Amino acid sequence: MNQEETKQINQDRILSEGIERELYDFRDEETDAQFYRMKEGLTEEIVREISEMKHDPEWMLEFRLKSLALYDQIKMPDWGPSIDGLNMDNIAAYVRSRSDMKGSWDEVPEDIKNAFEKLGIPQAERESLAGVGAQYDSELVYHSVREDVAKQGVVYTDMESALTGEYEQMVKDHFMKLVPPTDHKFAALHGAVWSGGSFVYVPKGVKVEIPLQSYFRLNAKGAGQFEHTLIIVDEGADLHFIEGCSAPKYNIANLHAGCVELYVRKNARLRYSTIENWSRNMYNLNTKRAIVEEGGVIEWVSGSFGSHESYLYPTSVLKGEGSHAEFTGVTFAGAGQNLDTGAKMIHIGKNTSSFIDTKSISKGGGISTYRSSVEIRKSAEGSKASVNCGSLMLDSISRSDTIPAVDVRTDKADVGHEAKIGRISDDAVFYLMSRGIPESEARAMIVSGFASPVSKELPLEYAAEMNNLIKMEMEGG
Amino acid sequence: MAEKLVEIENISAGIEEGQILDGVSLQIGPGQTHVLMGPNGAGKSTLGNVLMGNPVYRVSGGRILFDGQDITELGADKRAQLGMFMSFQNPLEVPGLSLEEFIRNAIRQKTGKPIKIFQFKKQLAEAMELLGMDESYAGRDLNVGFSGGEKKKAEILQLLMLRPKFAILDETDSGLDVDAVRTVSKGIEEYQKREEGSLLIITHSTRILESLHVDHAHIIVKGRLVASGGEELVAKVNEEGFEAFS
Amino acid sequence: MKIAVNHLPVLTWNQNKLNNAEMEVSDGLLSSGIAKASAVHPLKYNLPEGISRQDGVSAEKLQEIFEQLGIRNPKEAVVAGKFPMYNRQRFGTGMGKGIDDLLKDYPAQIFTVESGCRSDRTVKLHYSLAAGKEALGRIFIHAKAGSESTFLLYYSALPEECEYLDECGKCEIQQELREQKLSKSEEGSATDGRGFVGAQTYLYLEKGAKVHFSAVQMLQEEAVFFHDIGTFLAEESELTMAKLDLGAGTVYEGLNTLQAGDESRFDMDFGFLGLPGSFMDINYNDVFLGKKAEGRMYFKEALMKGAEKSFRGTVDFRQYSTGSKGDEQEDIILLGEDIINKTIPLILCEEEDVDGRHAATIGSLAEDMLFYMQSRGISKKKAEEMVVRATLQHISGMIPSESVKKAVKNYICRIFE
Repeated sequence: MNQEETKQINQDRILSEGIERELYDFRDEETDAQFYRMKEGLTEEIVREISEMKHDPEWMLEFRLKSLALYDQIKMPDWGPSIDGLNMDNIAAYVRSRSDMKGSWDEVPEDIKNAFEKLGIPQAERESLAGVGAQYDSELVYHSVREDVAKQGVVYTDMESALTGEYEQMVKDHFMKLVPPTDHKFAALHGAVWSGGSFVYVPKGVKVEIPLQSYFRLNAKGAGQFEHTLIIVDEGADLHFIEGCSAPKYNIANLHAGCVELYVRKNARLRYSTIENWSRNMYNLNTKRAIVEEGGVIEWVSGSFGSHESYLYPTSVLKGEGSHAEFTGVTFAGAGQNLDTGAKMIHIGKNTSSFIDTKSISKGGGISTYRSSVEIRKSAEGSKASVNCGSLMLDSISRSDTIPAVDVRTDKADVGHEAKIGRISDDAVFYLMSRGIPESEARAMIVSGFASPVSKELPLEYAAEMNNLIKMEMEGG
Repeated sequence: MAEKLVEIENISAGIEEGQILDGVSLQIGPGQTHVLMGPNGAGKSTLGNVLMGNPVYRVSGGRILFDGQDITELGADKRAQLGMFMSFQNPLEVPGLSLEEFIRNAIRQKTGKPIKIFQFKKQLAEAMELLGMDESYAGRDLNVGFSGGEKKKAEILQLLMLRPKFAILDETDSGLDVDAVRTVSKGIEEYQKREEGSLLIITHSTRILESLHVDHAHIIVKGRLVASGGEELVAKVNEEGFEAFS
Repeated sequence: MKIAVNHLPVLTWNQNKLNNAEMEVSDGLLSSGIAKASAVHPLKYNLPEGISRQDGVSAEKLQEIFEQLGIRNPKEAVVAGKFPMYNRQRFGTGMGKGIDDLLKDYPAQIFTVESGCRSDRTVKLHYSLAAGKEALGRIFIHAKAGSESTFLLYYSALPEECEYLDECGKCEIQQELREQKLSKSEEGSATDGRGFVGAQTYLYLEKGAKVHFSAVQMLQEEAVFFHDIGTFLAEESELTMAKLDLGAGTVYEGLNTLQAGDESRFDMDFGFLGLPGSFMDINYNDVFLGKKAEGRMYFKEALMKGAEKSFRGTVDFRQYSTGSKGDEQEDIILLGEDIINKTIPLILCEEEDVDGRHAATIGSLAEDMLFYMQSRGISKKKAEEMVVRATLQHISGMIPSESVKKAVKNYICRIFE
């Protein structure tokens, strides 16, 4: 790919104003000495094959090929958990295996099945999930929701349908404009091989009363690993979107490079909740980003429990005056897990505000890292940001790091930051035990309490599931 | 000078979470001492802070006049420069800034003129003696390591040195022992007679009022003034508590 | 040429530009090395009984001494992400190996505090430097078991006229200047004439040793200044530190404290005033290895118009550092436009039984403090200035020298008038 083409992709961004290139990860500033180059495992043929299979429009094929060229160019990140264990030679294999994926309940790994049992997910629900896998699709769930909200003019469909249907132009205008493939290596990979995911459009002034859920996403095209979520909440509209839930999306491949792009228009509000519990062989290199216009609000609620390794930092670009972002997250890293999670806040508009509240828990040799970046640009006069992160170490073979960056470019801003690390207080355990609660139960209760800022933001049934997950982790599950 | 020094007209105010004051009106004449009493959480301190212009509280209705001038939108420093003062319940600590320097800076800001240092030192020493403060406190860092009583005395010391026309005393007697209350009262008396200043004394007990002359008393319950009267109201609260007013 | 310094102990996003800093060093300084760079010689040695000095210790010899003393810089037990290469120093410093390399041909001075020494007299090392001159210095303070000592490093511009008058109107440091002739760079091969002063300081505290260490920098605004500190604290030792950076327009500060022994204490207060257009880069790490160790690092800073500052502060609990407590706080008041203020306060932890905290406030004065000041008729601008002055004054109060305190006070007065 030549420079002209790279430039073209850059120009394709609709967000030329406001978001500057420094916004993006892993790019341009790396020196060769510090990196190794990934071997190429992915070819143009494979990408063309995917595109054909999916009946892409012509522009999408071009987009994929440009992304592939970028993928070959961009280097691996030099920070964060080591992803040496991810065999990049197999990238092509991961992509290919997708189409062979059966998704039947029988193929779901034992530990995940057990997790379902312990979670107490109702029989009917479990059957419907298994059925989903067997059918390659989630028609039933999808349609029932869709009919309910369609009356309000809300569009909720899979990305493939959106791409070829009446919303093609809208998709084209927004697809990977917020997270361009130039962003980092895995964004480029996503651009080349993405498949599946959801498209949501909420028209002006429409308040969606019930949360939309993308509970099951193992559809025919096996979109698990590279799914794309595109949500546009138009002026004054209101939406709560829940993805993943606690249903572990099983995967044959062990790489997930999804992408979520959220557009929150003037005075709109979007809450995006995730409970992630991938199986423990997953490299979860996910990119999520929201851009918020004047007076708009984005709220992220995020629980990270699964995966072998995670890189996950939902980003809020507060472009419009008076826009607001909140991030509430909990990360629980157990044995064999290295979860690097956090958030980014970029204040561009005047009088914008952001609030980060996170909890990290490490146990059984697990590593959790809270990583964040709060940027207050010169233009963001009158802005306020606050970061609060707590970490809990449950033993002395684990690790917990807190790495929060703050960059302030105007004196007319106020930023507060506080982080604490510690252990479960013996006194608290004793107090609970003195009321007849067994020790293990007492410790689980305290950890649940520690994570409550997230669980109390979730709908009741998901909060209960999250607490169950914590309990399982505490039992060594 | 206006006939009324402070005019509170139908003020409603609160914090983000909700309204606290609900249409409070009150007038204080020059040289008058008013007492504001009420149970915990009634809005006493809120009224004091709103008068002084604490940005934590948002005024949602009404206005405040001082010396005939509408000060509802004015910053706290401007109000102080016009001659208002408030003694804080919990004065803040500033390591590295001595009490004396602080007072000197405040006077300089108010008058805009250099201070006659000899005269200043003399006045400071006199005021400190009146309040029974050891002179070493002048050189100590502002409120750092001061006991509760010392902090309250340092507030009254500022009252005497800054010589405002009107002072709000927010729970100045809380947490003080009998002797300290007496000393603080002495300081307030001195202010009353020397400056002929007006006072709004916010308190939930009546101890501090024993030795002070009071012109008017007001009872606030749930953000509204429910009774106003003379000194006899204080006696009534002493006997019956606030229940009679709610 | 540029050398990489102040490495963040764990790497993060490159676009934050906080993973390290680059310090410009004039080629002249390096090629001519020690010959042309004037040694930073204290104006006056004021050694109390029980403290001795040894000059001209080579870098190799210094490393040998470190090895004999059992100083080491252990690796993490569990590694989370990718680390930079700062670990490679035997005696870790905040600015890192780049400074070791820069000073590899540069002899050090060793101050040894004997066990019996319980001096409350300050060893005051006053480095005075004319505008445009270059100087590098390297010091190793070895405090033996149970000793107590006080050190003050004072870097000042060579005063053309005395600015520091005592109460009788006599110049306080003129006297010292006359007594000791300054060693000056002969050709003055200064970094574009701005002046360049660099110091590396090692502090090794044996069991139960106590050291009060202060460093005050008040060079001319054009100067570049760096101070790279490494400390190693054995069991029950106590290090208190006060640092003030007030003068130089370009400053690099690094510190690595290894609380190696059980029950060691480290207490640090840092004050910094970023003049208009100045640049400051800080990397301070407190590493806990021993049990029941306690560390506290407080940073108070003010940035004036156009000032740029990057701050890295790390509390690092290693495995088995049970019962340890680490506390770090950074408060920054922004006094002008066009500032760049970057802050990254890290907590790294691989031990359950610890208590760690860090906090930062960036912006204007806290609302309640501002209201208190304003209720006394003091404007916002004046209130901020008063608090900044008070803060610097507060840290200055910890410095064990009346003349330096006075110099600081005069300096602050001058800045804010």
